[in-house]
Amino acid sequence: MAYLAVSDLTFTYHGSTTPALAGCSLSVREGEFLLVVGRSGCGKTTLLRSLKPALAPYGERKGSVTLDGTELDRMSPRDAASVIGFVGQDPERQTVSDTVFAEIAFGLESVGLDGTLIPGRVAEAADFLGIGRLASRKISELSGGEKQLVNLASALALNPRLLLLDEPVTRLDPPAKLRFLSAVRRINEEAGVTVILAGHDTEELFPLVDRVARMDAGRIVSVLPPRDFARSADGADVRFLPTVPRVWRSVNGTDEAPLTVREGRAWLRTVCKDPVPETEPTDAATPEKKAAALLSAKDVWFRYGRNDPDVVANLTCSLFPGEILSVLGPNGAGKTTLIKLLSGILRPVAGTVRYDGKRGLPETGRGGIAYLPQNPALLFARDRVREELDEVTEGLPDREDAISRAAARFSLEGKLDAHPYDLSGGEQTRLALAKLTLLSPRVLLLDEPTAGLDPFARAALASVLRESAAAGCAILLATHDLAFASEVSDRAELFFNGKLNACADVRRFFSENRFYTTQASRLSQGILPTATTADELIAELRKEGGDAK
Amino acid sequence: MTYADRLHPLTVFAFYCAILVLTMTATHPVALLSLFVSAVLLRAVQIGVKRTLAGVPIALLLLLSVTAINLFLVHRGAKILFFLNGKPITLEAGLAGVFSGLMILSVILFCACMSRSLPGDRMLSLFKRRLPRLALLLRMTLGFIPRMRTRYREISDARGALGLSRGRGMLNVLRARLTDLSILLTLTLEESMDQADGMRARGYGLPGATRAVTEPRSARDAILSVGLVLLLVPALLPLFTGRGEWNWYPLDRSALVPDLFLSLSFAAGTAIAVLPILLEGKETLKWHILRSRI
Repeated sequence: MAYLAVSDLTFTYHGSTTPALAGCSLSVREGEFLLVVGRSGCGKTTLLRSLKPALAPYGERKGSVTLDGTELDRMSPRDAASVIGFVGQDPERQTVSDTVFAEIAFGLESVGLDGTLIPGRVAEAADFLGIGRLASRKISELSGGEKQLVNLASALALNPRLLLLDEPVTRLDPPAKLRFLSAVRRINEEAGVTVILAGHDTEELFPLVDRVARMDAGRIVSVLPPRDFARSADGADVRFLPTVPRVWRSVNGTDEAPLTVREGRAWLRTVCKDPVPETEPTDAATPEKKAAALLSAKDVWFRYGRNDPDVVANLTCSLFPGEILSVLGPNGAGKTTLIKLLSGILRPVAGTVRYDGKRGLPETGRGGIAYLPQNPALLFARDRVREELDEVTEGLPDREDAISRAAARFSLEGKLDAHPYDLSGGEQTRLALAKLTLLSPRVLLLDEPTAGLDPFARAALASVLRESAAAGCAILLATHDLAFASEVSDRAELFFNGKLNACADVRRFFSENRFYTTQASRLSQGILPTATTADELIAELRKEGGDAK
Repeated sequence: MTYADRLHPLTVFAFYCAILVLTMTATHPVALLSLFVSAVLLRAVQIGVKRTLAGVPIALLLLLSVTAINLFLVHRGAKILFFLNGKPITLEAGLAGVFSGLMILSVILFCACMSRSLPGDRMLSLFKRRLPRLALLLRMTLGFIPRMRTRYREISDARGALGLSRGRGMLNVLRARLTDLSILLTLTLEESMDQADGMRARGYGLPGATRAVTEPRSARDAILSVGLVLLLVPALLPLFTGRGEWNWYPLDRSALVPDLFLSLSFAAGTAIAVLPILLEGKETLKWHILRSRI
């Protein structure tokens, strides 16, 4: 007997003609941990929201949803509020209270639990998630990861039986991501709560979940245990696989699929009988050999207030034309501050920033430095994508032509008349990038450009960035997405303690790091030491397979 | 940890309200003096003698200016000290000035003591229970302002870096600022929709909401509240009967020594102010003894 049964659910948003859910059916057992993957815009969020009556979107709805045998619409609002917990994507936007205690108590107060019982329930939820010590802290002082744990705790305090998580970790850095997901796993395993999680972060999730559901065009296409999902994945589906099963699938893909790095290495040992000796990686592109630095910072110091700690301390770095440099590091390390210093938004307290060999930064605008903020929507001021692009075409000979070429380059042709806010996360990033490139900048500074992008959007972004670099643009990206950094960049460095150490060749960086590195590198270290991305590893293995034959 | 932390905020709030009302309505020099001494002692117990003494210069300045203002503006009174510009400067006006200065100082000191015994969040928790919707609205609005300010900065930074929000000429600058503001508005609306979702997801708006009881009332609160009421009644009697009304012009020296009724009433009033000193003082002493034993 299915605990949650969605049968033939069809939903069309008010004012839209194409259904967001088109005959979606799904059945989930009690205590199951289900991962929902799919391209952005395929209906994951709509499905999750349709499972929570208070959040159900407005529009036309057909089909039925039953939870534990009860039709969802027949549930009392009070039951629905506590039995079904929901945590959304943005940790900043879900909180309402000033302190952590008040935030976790909020739901309990709303459903009318006896006031004297509330502190106990708050304590239970907070302690279970290991955030008890935060109870009297102010929400505004917490990190994103802590906020998201508070959001989880406030859903958990209501004693839910079903937990719906809509891309809960896309805004978090790797350590915070792991902390959140292991909390979810404990809720699932130790309290038997049914969990449905929609997201692109399959890397960490595949080993945790019971089944993986793939959605496409408003429909559930397949629901399989992760190992079976990996085995049967083909074509575009392979993109949804985490590195380990993806490499496995692309090379062999017949017996039991490995999910973790440990399993993956065991499998890799059987494929590569004699390990390749570790060769000293050569710096393929030593930056000094290239042209002079386009943008450089020397001995730069920065702090926000006189008595605040240094965010950037004695930092020196250079960015060369035609290269992509990745600045890695956790959230809150100061990556955004560094970008703002380089783009001239902030002025260093000490030290100099040089652009094109000259001290001081160029006039903003055309042919200079362009900065993409973490939230691309900050740049959108118009009602239509076309007008948005037109805002920056002033002075170009053929404005219409420029707009249509930019739209084509960033695959936005079909969206020119849409409202920028109606675009998906990936499309918003592309629109912002299109806007930036219309100014034909010589330097692109990108802050966390992959947050919330699906695997396809990420791949598209990677190729756009590589194209721009090939055209001579110098690109610096701040990110905590190691796989993306290893795929696109020429050099990479960890931003640590306010400094960037010598920016190493990306291959060297990822192959020498043991822990702060990509899954592909962890998988292949000591066995096939030259591969740092999944694609390289696959190519390497295919070559090896070919040699053996 | 102070003694007030262990009490229900309402008890602490009631005590300070009573003290402040008594101080502000007191006119008799004896009452004013005893309240002022209590205020200084309470402050000393709370923050230490050294830091209390550090406030003496500014207190003296305040006292002197209030006295001077009274001295030069009020020319009533029998005992003339000297003439200034042909106007009499009287002893009574000077004394009245000193005591109103003391009253103002006492009020300031008691307010400072209250904000220490009852920090912002505990004070807010008092109103939260009585006016939950208003408290939530207040909290969210207050949270909004800094958030919007940061957001606005981000917008103008990001667009400025593209050369979009730094036009030349007044009109262009104004237009760019307005665009930034319209983006801010749209973004804020989007954010508040998410926030509303977060609230609805947790059952906000259902009938019969409760409030978490985080500060249960103890026997201590009950005893102190009863004590407060018992002391407050005699302390306020002069105010309602009109007896003990002090008048500086003319000065009646015989009234300086209060009669039995007034003495008892002032004693009750002072007791209300002294009680926190004893309780906090006991706490401070206990810590000192504990520390010396460690």
